[in-house]
Amino acid sequence: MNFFRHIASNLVKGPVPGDAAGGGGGGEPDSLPDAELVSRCQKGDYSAFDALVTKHRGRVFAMIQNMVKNEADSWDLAQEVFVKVWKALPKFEARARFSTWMYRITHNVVYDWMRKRKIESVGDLDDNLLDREVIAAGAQAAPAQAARPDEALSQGELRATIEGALQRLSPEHREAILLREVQGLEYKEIADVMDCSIGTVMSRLFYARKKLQSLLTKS
Amino acid sequence: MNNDRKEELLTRWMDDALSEEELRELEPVLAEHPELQAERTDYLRMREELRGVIPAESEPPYPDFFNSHLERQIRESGRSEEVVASRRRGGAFDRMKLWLMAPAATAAVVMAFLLGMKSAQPNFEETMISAAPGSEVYSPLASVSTEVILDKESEATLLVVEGLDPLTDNDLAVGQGLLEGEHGYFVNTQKVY
Repeated sequence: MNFFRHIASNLVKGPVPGDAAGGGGGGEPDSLPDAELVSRCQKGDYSAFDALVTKHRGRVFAMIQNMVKNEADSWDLAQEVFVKVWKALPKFEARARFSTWMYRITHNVVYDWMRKRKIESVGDLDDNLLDREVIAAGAQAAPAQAARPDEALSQGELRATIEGALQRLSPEHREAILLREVQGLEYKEIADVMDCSIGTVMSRLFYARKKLQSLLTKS
Repeated sequence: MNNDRKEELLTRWMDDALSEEELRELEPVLAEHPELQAERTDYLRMREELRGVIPAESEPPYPDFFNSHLERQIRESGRSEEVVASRRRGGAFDRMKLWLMAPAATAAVVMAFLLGMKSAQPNFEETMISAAPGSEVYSPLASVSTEVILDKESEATLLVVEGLDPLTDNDLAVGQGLLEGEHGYFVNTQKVY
């Protein structure tokens, strides 16, 4: 099966967009730092972008997966993230780390998807629902989504419990927890990703932690 | 200390990220709420569990296909953008062409009108097809053949027009170039019987 995937993967690969020569030399793309890969991408080197994707797709997919809890949607959204990254790379000025910038795009894609999904399911999204000022610290801001039985069996009770608790946080609280505790971003980076002030990040983390602790203690 | 400051300090305290000065600032709060120490210990344990079960990285299913599909999507979106761009360029060109075409079309219409007018005018040389000496027959239609036959013996003038519906007497203007009749024929002959 892996062999088939490898063959299929190579068959669909054509000339790299924007650079028939495959970019300038100077080392294997996989081993280069992000800044160098980004620089090559900005010159149209698709192989450098392919290396960036390979390097970061796991983090992007995990982040999305933990936000939307649907593997197929996460796969599609991760694709959308990298398409947007490729298109926006020429404008990337490296004021922030590439990974932080990529998380920012991921944040936008996920929130756009949630808004669209909300509109499709119940009508217009009330942005007040996402306003931290109207979310009580003890409020149940997101519908509980139980893990599938096969997931619970394979991942263990602890994981199911923690995932269940995370899903009961509001999207903003959940994202703040994931970016800080799982992805290890600094407060400033979280603020950049979520497009808010550091004070807001602190507040979200404060209430998200209390809520998570409360949920896990109960369960 | 206001709530925002307290939340910020407590959050950073949980992360063990307070400076000594900030720690001193927070001490009164910690003294007032001793349960916070236990909460912190619990949270640090919970965080370890969280990091243990929620991976920071998780490869998407079919990772090779992920990359190749992405490349195809980017290539296709690039092509569609090129198409849109070329349509935009073409659209602008088309609009410019329309502006240029407008006077050309007007000129063409005027030319056609003038040519039509000219062709509608009787071609005197062609329509003076067959006339008796000293006589002329003008017809607005070149396809009509005409002939004037003077018969002195019977003192008759015979006008032969072929190719038209039968004419009435009112259709003929005989004499001094007076046009009458539905068909507008003019017959000028030196002698009329």
